[in-house]
Amino acid sequence: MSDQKPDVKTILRRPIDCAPKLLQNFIDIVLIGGEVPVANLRRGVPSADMLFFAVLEKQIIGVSCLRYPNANFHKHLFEKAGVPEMYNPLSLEACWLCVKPEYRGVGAWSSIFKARTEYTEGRPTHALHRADNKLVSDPVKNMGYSQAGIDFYADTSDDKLCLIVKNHDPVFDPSKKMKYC
Amino acid sequence: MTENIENLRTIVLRPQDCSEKMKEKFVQLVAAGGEAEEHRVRYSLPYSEVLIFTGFGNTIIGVGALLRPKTIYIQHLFECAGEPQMSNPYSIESCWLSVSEAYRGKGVWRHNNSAKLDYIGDRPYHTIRRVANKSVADLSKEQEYVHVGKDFFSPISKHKLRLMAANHDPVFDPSKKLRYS
Repeated sequence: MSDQKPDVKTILRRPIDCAPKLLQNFIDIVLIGGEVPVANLRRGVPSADMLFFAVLEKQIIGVSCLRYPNANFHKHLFEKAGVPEMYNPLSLEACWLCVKPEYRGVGAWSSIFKARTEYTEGRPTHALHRADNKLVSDPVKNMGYSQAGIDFYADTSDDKLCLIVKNHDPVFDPSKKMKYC
Repeated sequence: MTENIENLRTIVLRPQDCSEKMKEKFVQLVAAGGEAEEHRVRYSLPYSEVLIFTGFGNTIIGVGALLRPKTIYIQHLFECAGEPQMSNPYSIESCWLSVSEAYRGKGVWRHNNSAKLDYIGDRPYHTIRRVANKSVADLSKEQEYVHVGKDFFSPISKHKLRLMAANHDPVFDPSKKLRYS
């Protein structure tokens, strides 16, 4: 048997460019993970900045998303982590990552991560994960993310959470903007 | 609050940061303007990048929006205008501008538009106007725009349309993207 991993490709689609069936497929896969209520997905998917679909042999095997979260919730996270000065309203949240169980370990996660990194380039991004989820925390720290502040409890979860950031200034610089160049 | 132009305030919010009441007021104001069908506004509102509200105190009297439309729709517009090479997938559409009838001619539109331009910065954007609607199809009133190609008819409207764009390269440059700096 070959040790070579299958060729997983990740495609990027803005929600408005997705057919309803594709959006439903996205939601169904995130629901497999069991971490996100369906109502949050139905409300949040249309306003996502970008959706990521990991594809293997024409099958969608994993998904993820970049979005601007609700501003109050976004601020709340940085306050809870003890670093309110790092809050950046232009930071995209990387979220809703889920790979179908039967396809875990084939490279979907790394394919999505690579596509996400290429898309965001130097843009500030952040993500939230359960503090005890070492499957996530160790690899992402090798991919340019670092923890913002300290682990904390928030109203949205029973678990202790860890906030990680990439391309964030230690103190938000309001003179920086999104520029087209 | 005195209804004086000096007291006008405009805020730019992502849909996920708006209350249901604000979104409903937005839809009602746009529908009252008569240029967009209410059900289309309701459908597309969650996909908009930002909604722009102008008012006195808590009273909203003018609105506008920036929407990243479907990529194929942007291509369609520029093809119809005879300038397909100018089509830019990063172009945001300035749309759904509407001012309460009682407040027209009092600087509300200008206030709303100024906040919109601040938000956009150097990003490419476009708008479509009915040619017969002389008050908004007049390019001399909004000098940031260029008239793209020629006026046209399209299946999206029974009216003759004018495509206007700003910050667009004459030929789309695929090396450009949104960058944070």
